[in-house]
Amino acid sequence: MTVPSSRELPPILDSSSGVREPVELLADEFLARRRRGERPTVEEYEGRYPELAESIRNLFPALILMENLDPGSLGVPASPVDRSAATASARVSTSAPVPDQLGDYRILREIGRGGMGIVYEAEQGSLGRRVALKILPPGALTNPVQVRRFEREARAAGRLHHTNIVPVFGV
Amino acid sequence: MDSMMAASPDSLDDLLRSARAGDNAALAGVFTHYRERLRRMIHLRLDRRLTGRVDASDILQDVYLEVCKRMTSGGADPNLPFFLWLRLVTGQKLTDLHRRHLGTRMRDAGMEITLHRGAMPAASSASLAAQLLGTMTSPTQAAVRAEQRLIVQEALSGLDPIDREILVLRHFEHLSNDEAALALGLKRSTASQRYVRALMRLKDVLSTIPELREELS
Repeated sequence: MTVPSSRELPPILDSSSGVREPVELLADEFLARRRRGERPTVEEYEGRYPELAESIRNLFPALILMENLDPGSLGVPASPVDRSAATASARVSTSAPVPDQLGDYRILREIGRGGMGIVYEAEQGSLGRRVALKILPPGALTNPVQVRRFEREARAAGRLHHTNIVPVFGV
Repeated sequence: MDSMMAASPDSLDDLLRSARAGDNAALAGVFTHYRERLRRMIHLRLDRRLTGRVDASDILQDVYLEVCKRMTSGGADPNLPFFLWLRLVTGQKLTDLHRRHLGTRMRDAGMEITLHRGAMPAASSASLAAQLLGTMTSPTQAAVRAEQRLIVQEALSGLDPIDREILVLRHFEHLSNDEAALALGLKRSTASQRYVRALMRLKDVLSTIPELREELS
């Protein structure tokens, strides 16, 4: 019996092979180049394959989006939140005027901030536990789109349970 | 991932040949070579209710023992590239683990995908999100990308399971078209078409979201 090598495909594929989609072959090449560290552009492929330009324009942006989410592109394995990065960003951020107490929560320090708001370390008085409080930036509450986003994020994250996903206790 | 592969293609072929012939040291080398890819697959497919209770490294250890056992009893499936066979054994271990820990609650998970070579837990959109979130290195970075990630997660949940599966295989497990075809029991032409179709559907769903329309046009 001959033993197939890692890159030689077993015979069953040859008999049932069929032809791959031309645009999929290009997508494959595009991905392989990106994974080697090259930065090929959609325009380059549209120019090289004018007869497929429309499909390329249709598909490649979604493909790039998927690839940007690929955990491997940032390096596996998954790591928990880096605490030193958290303190570093807390140090550089300007401290906006924030009350010491928000309802049941006593705010201890700022952990970080991003496009969606500011995250504080806080203590929930009634349960005596440390929590992270995410607060929308000032002015955001007047923007219904921002508020909807915030609620959507909380709803989606609230459905998840994972070591690396912050559980949502309430909105 | 390629950068993590220590063995050069030639020596990998040698290792694979020796491993198939029953050389245990070669088998260990091959397993080490594919370990990170298998770990990634476990992260994508382990039910999120079990994270914290079972560890990926322990699962890999179990998989390795099972692989050794099977190599002495019947050998690897000669019709599958070795990596896909390892992936299959890993999938079966995950399924066993889900059955053992979740029992009847397996049903609500609704995430077991039946493939022609055996059942394997599908990558759920939630475990995808978990995997994606796990790569964030700082809370700030996480906050910036959270929005986009959640949108994509919602879009992925709306896709047909096979569409989602093929996107995961190609993009997150880095399988080639032919490998994905073998894993799903499809012809290579069908796998190719389904991948294109899945990307189109993902794009259609994502383009309805104003924040992403520009990026996708």
